Amino acid sequence: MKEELFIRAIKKRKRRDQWFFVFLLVMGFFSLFPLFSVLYYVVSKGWPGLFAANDLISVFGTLEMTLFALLFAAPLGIGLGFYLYETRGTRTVTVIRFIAELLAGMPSILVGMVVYAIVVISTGTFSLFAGSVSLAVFVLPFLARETEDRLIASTSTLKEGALALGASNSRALLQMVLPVMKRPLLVAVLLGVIRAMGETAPLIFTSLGNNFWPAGVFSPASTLSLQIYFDALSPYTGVQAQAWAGALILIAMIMILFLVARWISKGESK
Amino acid sequence: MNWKVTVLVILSFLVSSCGIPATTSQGAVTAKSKMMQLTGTGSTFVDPLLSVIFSEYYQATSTEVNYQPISSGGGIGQIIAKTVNFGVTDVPFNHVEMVSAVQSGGPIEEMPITLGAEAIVYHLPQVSTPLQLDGQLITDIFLGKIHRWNNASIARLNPDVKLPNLPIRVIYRADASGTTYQFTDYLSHISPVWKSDVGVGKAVSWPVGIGGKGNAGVAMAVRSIPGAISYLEFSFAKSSHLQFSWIKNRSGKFVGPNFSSITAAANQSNIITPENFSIVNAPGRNSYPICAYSWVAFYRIQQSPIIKSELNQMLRWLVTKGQTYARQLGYVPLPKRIRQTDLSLLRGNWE
Amino acid sequence: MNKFRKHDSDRLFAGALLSFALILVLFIFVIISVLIERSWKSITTFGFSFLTGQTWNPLRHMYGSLPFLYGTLISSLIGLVLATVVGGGTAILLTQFNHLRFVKLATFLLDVLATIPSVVYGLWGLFVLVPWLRNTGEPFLKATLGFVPLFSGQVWGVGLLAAGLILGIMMLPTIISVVRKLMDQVPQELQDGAIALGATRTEKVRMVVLPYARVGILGAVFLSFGRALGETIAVTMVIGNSPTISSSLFQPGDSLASVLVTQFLEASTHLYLSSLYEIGLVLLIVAVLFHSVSKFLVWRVSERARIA
Repeated sequence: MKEELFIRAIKKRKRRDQWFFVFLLVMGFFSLFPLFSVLYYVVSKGWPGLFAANDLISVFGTLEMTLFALLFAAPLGIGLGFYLYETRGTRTVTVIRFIAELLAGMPSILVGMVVYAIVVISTGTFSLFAGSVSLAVFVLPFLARETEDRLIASTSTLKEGALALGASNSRALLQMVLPVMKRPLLVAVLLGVIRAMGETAPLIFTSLGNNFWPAGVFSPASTLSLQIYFDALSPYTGVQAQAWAGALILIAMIMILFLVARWISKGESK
Repeated sequence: MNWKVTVLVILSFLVSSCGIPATTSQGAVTAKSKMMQLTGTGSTFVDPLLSVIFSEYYQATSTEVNYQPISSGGGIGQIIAKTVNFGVTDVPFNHVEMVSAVQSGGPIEEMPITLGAEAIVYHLPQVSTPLQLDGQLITDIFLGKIHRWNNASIARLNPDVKLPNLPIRVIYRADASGTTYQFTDYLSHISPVWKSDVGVGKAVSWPVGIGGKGNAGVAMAVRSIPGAISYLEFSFAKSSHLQFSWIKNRSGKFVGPNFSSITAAANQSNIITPENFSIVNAPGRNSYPICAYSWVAFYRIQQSPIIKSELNQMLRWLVTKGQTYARQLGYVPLPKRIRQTDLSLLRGNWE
Repeated sequence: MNKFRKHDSDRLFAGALLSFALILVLFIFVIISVLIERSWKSITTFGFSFLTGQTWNPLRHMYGSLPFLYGTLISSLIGLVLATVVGGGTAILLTQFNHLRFVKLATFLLDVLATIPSVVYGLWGLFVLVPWLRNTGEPFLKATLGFVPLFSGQVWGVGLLAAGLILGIMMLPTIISVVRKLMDQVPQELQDGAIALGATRTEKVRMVVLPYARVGILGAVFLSFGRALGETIAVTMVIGNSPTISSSLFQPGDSLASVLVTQFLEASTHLYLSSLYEIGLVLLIVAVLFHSVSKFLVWRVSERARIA
């Protein structure tokens, strides 16, 4: 009798365990369902409208703006990452770290407002340059954190070794650590590019959009993300199709960069 | 992987991508136009017309005019902020805006560039003939007093229509819009309650509904939401195949927006100035009650003589040759007397 | 001599690194001071009532940010609840049941999910999620749970619920990856001990893993919440852009970030523009507040892990 109760209790616990597992599987399904749905619609709705003439302007706008942004942000962000890594644990750096966190937690649209208030107003025009500045400020804290994480993950023994052999701190970092860090840092930069590429909100206030090729760096420019946003709000099905096509191109570009980044970091770990 | 190589690749790519525009955009691009690009922003009301006009202007002169429709408020705001070469708005600058603009960059010139109408659009697939509405009914709908399409007061004006038992979903403009200004101006002419409770402006506090961004965003929302109703520039209503109503005018006749009814309304007011611009609720048997002029605004004093002459040329083309594209898109070409005032402004004061 | 030079180069190097940090400080200083300076007129005009005012009416020069604050918090909260349940469940599945073959694949797919840009979610939300909510989702909720004020009233499709769902999806990758990391930090001996005592996996998760990672999970939740508050484009596209406060989740609302998108470039009077800058300032304070709290909580967990 007692044994039966015991077995029943165990069975009940087992059953509960199984139900919990089913619940978890359902949650896992819900996590991945949006991805498949988004990709399905982007591909099926974007495919027909691909290769429109206007897309090219936006593709180049996206590439130019992102590259300019990374030209500003990559050296700054990596340098900052080195600073955070070098000064880990010291008390003065907590202020800097807190400020870096502030910037990381700042909604990107605020960066757009401030760049509008400073760059757009003072140059007297919306521009590709202003857009790049806002993207640069946006990815800067991300790059710094990625750099620091990667430094911590892979090099402390290397640096200690160099220091033990009598190298100066700067030599240890520049001649021992940096060469080894090339690939991880490249991956960090690529991830930064991915983040910057898809960003839309600050560009509305800084680069405005352009139906033509930008006349220069100080001229309004269109990007894929802006094009998707504007076209999505159009009542015409033809224009909406362009939004989907833009989304397909943008996601394809991001996926390629993402896979390249993974490939590089895989090569690293081998 | 070599750093120098990577940097070189990135740099060369940047350079090449900067160079590509000059070589691959359609046809020959002269050096002049590549250095010069006029940027304008503002009204979405005129966007369908301006996008055709500026693309034709590019074909004719290879001058690029980049017009980004945000809203009339955007046209005024960005002129005051001095970030664009010209702004377009469906309502001329009011006193406060004018003062800010003058402080910012000196006196402003404003001139009408087209004439259009606002349609009351709705989404009722079951209804095939145009609904007939009057000003009071429209006011009540936008005040949130009427909730369903089969309401008795709608049925009374449309005895032959079988109205569906659907909720009315009001959609309005979320941004600072000239289209909203003209619409609320009309409702205020009709209803003292509207005038005191909501008022006339580019952005008002709406009693009910959801907001769409730009004329395009509103059209998109009406198209996708059954039972929706909104106010929309006529060209958007036409080209996105939305249903629109006939409205009872001051003479008690139901009229739809079309070339002759807009022209009839405009002919009721001979003199149009930035101070006296409203033509809503016009008298006359055939007048459509919600019509408006769109205005372009720019600084009288321009820092760059090149921009000044390019702008002058473009605006001249806009009010002469450009007007020929208006009718096919649902706008009305500017009446001759107004075109002449525009041209004398461009020739005289501003040369 | 040699030693002296070495010291010198180190100082130079440290100085160079410090200059990077100073540039960062400069950025933050500029951003905050521009926001404060531009919103000064609004701050002095409205004072505290800017935060409590329920009317946003540029025509009457009445600017109250409460509807936007409400929309921001509620939509983020909806997203947070969904993302915590779904994301937490997924994280448990991936860490505690990791003998499953699809773990690697799922991890990869979740990384992909994290790279999809906000504007693409907005596009998908507008054309796929919103019509579904309008025709199927919200009518169903109304029919089954309509007696709760949260699920009553007119069905639009766009609105707080749509914005919350989109935010939830966007929060998922962060929540999952942070929670996974935290659960991996739970000492293996404790877990094995629980199993050895005869606990089922469910009981192990409930009694050992979750209590251990609790504070950190709370941190992850706050972190995602802080992110969601500032999320802009996707929310703007589906929230309905109506500055009203309503108890029903079906109703359209507006958020701090989305009112900036729709009105910032359009403000044509000084006070209007100044009020929008103050909206930005409010958004900054709210977002930074949650970000800092979350960082503190996550830091406390890792600190504890280090001590243990």
